[in-house]
Amino acid sequence: MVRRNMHLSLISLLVLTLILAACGSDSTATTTSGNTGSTNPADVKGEITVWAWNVAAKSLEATVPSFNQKYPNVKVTIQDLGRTDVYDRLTTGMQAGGAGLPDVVAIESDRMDVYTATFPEGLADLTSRASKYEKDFDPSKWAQSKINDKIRSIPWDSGPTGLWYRVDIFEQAGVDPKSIETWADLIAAGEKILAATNGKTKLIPVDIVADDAGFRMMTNQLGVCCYFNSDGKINLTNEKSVQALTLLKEINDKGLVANINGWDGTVAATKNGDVATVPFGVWYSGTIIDQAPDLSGKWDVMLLPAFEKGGNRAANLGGSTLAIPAATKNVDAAWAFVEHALATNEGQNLMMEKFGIWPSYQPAYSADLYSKPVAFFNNQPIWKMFADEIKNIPPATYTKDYAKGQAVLASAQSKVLSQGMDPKQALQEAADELANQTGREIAQ
Amino acid sequence: MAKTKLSDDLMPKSLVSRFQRIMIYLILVVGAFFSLFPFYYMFVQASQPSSEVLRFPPHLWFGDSAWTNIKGLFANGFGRSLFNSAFIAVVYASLSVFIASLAGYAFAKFRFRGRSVLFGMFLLVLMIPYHVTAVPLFQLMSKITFLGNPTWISSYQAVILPALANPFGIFLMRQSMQALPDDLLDAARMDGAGEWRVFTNVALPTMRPTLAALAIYSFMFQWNSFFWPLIVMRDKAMETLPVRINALVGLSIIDYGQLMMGTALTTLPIMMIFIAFQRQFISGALAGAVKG
Repeated sequence: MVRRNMHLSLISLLVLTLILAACGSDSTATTTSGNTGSTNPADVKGEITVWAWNVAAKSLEATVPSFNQKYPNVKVTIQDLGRTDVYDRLTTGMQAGGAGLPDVVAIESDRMDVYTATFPEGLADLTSRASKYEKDFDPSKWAQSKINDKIRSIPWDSGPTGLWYRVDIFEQAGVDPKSIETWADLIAAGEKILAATNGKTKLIPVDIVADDAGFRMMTNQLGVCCYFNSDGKINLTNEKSVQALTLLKEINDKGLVANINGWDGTVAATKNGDVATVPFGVWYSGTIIDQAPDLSGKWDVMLLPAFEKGGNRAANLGGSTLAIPAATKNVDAAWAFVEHALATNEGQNLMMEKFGIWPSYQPAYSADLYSKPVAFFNNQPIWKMFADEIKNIPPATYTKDYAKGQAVLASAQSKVLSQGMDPKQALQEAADELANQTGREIAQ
Repeated sequence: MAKTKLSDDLMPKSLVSRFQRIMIYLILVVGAFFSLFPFYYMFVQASQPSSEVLRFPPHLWFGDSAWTNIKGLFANGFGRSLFNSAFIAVVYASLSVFIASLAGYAFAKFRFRGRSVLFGMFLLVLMIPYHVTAVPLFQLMSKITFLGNPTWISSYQAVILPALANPFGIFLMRQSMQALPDDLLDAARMDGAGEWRVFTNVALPTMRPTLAALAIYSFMFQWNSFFWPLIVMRDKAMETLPVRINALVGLSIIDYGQLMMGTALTTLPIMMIFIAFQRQFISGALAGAVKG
């Protein structure tokens, strides 16, 4: 009997220790980051490590030679990692008080709030160094990097949206792309295309159960992106969000949605002519060129259709930033690298030209390449369209609960598109669910 | 031997049995097709350029980009990762099997105070999700300065040591060792063998199938392990294969050809090991199951 008791107490002691170990230790190291940096580039010395995901890492690598011309005494090591792998490493490093972190790290813009909420001082405060650039950057992106009036990262690339479309399929169905101004026009075109291709080519790909990208673009267009308003309240039951989900339902009810599975499914549908259009960010250009080289000249892009004639056609999807973990021992060198890559025409356009990474730094758009026609995309000057779109993108609110919002919305989308639920009811349920999960109020 | 016995027992020679035999082989062929086709398809895809992998209808025969994909992989650190993975898996498998057999023997054959409590704690460790221990363990690794390293982050021991006393292995070895008759060990002791000798010369040789099974299991555990090596191996030169392959998955561009080639090359050693040792693998697992 005594032995059994000892047994039990030992086990509970062990469990308790583990729980404590998991909960405690949140004191992230803070380093000072106030000074505005050295004036003489040769005085900036040291080694820095940069983490980014693959193509993005290669693009940063491309900026290193010109960076080293300016800063000969900084040695840069770029590490390429899988997309979410960057976050796993970053999070554990920050939880461990800043151990094993790089000097510069890539973070997607919509994840910034997650890090700044969990580790308020985990990323260096760049305000004094960076605020002079505020007017130069895509305002919707700058807002995502500025948390409680402190700049915690520098916008890297933006994701102005467009409707990528197949020129040859539009022609075959007798649809003039220039005639499309509203989503209603596009649906009518989609029906024509579906008929002309005997049902093979649908209008848009949607990952019905897992991804609400379409909803996010549409609500951003309407100025209510995505799940929360600027006061942090849940903002799903408003008229515009309902309008967006209703539009998706209408496209689906007419048989114009290709229900695909994940990213690979979208790429396959794009490549194999299962869809005539793909509403996505500018970054999708790189994917199309990489994955469908045989369709050169057959793709083009227009702005997303408006909800009503003359309505807003600008939105953003995706994009990322570069941040400097506060634990770095070499803020000056890290900042010099970020500044050169992101806040100069040279750095940004090198990445744009070679890797299609769209600058959030607007002065870069003055370069020639933005007005030149692009052979792959029907020989149209497509970059000009995106450059002009940037300033019209309405701001969006993400918050640290963004990922929860995405999951809840994907499930609402699936109820509406697969089970025919009324969009308004589905969004009401989604709002209640999100309130449950996050403890946030629902906006009226 | 095994083959002829099977057909003799199951199928007496008659007309009905011929029909049955055809049916059985038919089912086996279909089963083999479904289990082997994914492997074949993986190698086919590994030989395609990235832009051909998602094509519909899919390619069913090999493409011409196998060498390009291999070169691409090796240009980006694949060779080094291959070495890291192999080194870690081999060292880990040898050490952890040794430790598990020692511990299993002690738990099975010695009576000492707190034996069941200790064993209970080992089993409890099996139930802790690794997410819970990842951060404290990482913190520990960042602070250890033992063996002259300023930190254990990005070191082989950081991956090998924490999982060395593997609860599953200890459990498996204990179950097998329990089946060993005490009389056999006593007989050896009567003949004047010391405890170490009893262990190495009497107990261990009878455990060969279980040891082989555990060695393969331990090797595969480290070979496939992703999360912990990702967290702790922060230097690119120290990355293991699964981490390196996952680095091919970017935000909007994925090199599917290289991804498939990397996966195929990573799967190949495991397939070869399994084919070479499949008898031990199956008999070892069964031995543990039955005797437990």
